[in-house]
Amino acid sequence: MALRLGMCKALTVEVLTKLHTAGIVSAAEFVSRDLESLSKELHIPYKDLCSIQRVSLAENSAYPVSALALYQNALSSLAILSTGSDVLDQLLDGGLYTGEVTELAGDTVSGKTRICHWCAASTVKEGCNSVLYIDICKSFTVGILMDTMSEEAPDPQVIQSRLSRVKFLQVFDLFQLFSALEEVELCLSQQEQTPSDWKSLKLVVIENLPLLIYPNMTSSAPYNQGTLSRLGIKLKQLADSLSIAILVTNHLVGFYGQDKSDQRKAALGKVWSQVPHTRVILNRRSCGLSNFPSSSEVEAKLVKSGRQQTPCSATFCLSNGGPVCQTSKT
Amino acid sequence: MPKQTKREESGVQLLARLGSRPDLSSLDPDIFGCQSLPSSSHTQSTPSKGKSLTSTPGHLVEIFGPEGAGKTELALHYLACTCLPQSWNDVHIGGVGAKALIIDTDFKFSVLRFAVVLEKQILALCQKESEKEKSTSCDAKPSKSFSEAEHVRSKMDSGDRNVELKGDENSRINAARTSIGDEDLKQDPDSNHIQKKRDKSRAECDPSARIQTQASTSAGNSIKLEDGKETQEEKKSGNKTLTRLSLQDLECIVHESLERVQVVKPNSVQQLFMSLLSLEITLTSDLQTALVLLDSVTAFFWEDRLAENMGNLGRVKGSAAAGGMTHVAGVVGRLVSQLGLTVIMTKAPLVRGASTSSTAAGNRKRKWRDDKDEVDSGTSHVCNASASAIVEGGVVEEDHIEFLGKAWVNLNPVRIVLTEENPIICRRGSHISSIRTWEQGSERRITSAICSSWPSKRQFTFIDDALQFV
Repeated sequence: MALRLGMCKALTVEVLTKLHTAGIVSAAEFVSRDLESLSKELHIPYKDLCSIQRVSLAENSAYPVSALALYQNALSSLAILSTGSDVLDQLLDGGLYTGEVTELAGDTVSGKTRICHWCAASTVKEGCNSVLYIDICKSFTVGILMDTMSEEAPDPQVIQSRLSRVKFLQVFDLFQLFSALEEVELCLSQQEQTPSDWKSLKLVVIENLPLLIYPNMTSSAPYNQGTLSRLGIKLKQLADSLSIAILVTNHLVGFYGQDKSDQRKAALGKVWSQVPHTRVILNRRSCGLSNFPSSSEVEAKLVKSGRQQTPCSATFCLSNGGPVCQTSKT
Repeated sequence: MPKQTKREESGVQLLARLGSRPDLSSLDPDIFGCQSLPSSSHTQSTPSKGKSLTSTPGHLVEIFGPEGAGKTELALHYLACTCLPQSWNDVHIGGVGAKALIIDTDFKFSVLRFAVVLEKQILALCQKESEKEKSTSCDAKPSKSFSEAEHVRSKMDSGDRNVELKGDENSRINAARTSIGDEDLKQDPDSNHIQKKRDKSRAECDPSARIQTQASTSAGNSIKLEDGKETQEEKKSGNKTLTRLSLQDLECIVHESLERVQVVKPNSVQQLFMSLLSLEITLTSDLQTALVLLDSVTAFFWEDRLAENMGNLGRVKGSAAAGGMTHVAGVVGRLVSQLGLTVIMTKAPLVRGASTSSTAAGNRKRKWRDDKDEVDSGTSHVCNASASAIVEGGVVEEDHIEFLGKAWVNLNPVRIVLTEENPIICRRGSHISSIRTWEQGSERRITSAICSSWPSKRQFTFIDDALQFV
């Protein structure tokens, strides 16, 4: 939001240097000054200042949209992506909503990654939807995806075309994540010229978010909280403006123990906790890691939602093969 | 950041000064009524004494509460009351009919959700009206029987009831359908069946299902849907006969109300500041707008802190890049005091304080913050934060944490503090919650709200997607 040449006719080199000497660099600084006194102080015509102010306000402010237009737009662009599990879909009132950030929080082996894979598989099933899968570890496994898909459609060509619409991106720190998101935004906002790479991107999965955030936690509070809240705003803005669903997985913090599972909450603190629209906490019933992990039940608890009564829970089975689970609603 | 005294005013400002904005006191007389105006709010933020531009000064309301306590819902409730019309074809609805503006810094405003809130509001208000009518006149009986017949009919053809959809749902589904261009959906009326769709075809064709479920509250299986459908039909047919409101009318009212609402989605502190400044200009000439909803004011808190920190490191201290939210506070203050707008802002507790730790520790924290503020500003002018702890009437806002800084404290908002009560088990049996009869009882969150302007604590809950005061 810097004041720069060519922004406005009145903003000549001379005026700009005058403003710079007065310590006014950004548009925000400019508009917060009183124009009359500024005009007297710097000997710039008042009218010029007024027109600069008008231009900088128009250029930098968000444009108000009528709610009716938003409403009609929402009706046309909204999609609900299935998670691939009927129980979860039911819990989430249909599935993942575009325009929203959904969070899955759970301990290790609580089924986060698997659900992410289901979501990806069921999203690419429809039309030419594509999925972007971002992770810091290499938790993305084509095998699971293939297994899930082959249950539905055994035709290898179909599977191939579906797999081609899932993109995996490995990032190593928060800033790579930021740049990846920027890239997606840039590509999608000028959709005409885009190659089919990001075309009809419907779902962005970000796995193991805390692993990206924790290295920053050593720095000062304004820094780490600031970047975290920036990430939150970025994700929500992306979801909202491009109408894509964002699925984030998070860890749990708090007391650990069999009966104290209620006290465990999603990691990353208060700032992040405001970010997701919907949060589901996954809790594995049987804690055995080695004994038949495939057959154990997972309790999904909806703790935050803008649509439904919260706390609300359902249990489903993390069976090895496909998204279809034995449903047993609690 | 007060502007220097304006010696002259433009014609637009003169008109604004002479005109007045719609009166919002019907939303909540205790808060939005004239008598509750804190006198300090406008002497402090208006530099020239007594120079309020409009004849009726506005109000600044702050809704504070932890995550999930219902801040946004409460704000949406007020917003819906503001933008609903006063009456529609001689049917009294009871809104204000004023324009409103949402500044959605949280990207959490869902317009579909708001449409549902509007609908519920209309239905609730009509219900109230019709109940009044019922008690006074005796024409309740025929309408009752009619709604019964409707009920039965809707049960009878529940098989293809989705084809039978009328009014709002139907047109909405149509809108969704045509815009998506899903051929399956267009040609085969049976695929409209929500349950089937939920099971089989997914993703793109689901909006209608979503709307359907939203209309009949969060539902998943067919029993729920059916129930919801029936009660809705029942309700609506009841309305139709009692208050002569057809479903088309309902749709029209919602559309008209939505048209009165503008949404701004700034994505950074600077953009928020700029947007508010340009809104200040447009709102001066627009006297129909009465309410501005800032949801939430804390969205950029940490980012602002970050900018401040960076500013202190590399640049001249006190430059305008830092402390963006302070400037925003200035503009908000002007909107309230000079333009006579009512501003509702929601505030989330981003710092740990009284709500999580014990009260004593929270007080200490607050005390510390006040001291820090005083030190920062060099004056001992901060009295509001400590005064807010104990307000008149003996209501103690013990859960409130002030952390936004002096500029916001000085605006002296009327504060509503929300706290979540322990979830209680309530039995469903009343006519309102009959939609959820498939469950014997369930946890329901009750939120209690404390406000200095209210005589006592209030509690509200969400029944059937509508906010209800207990």
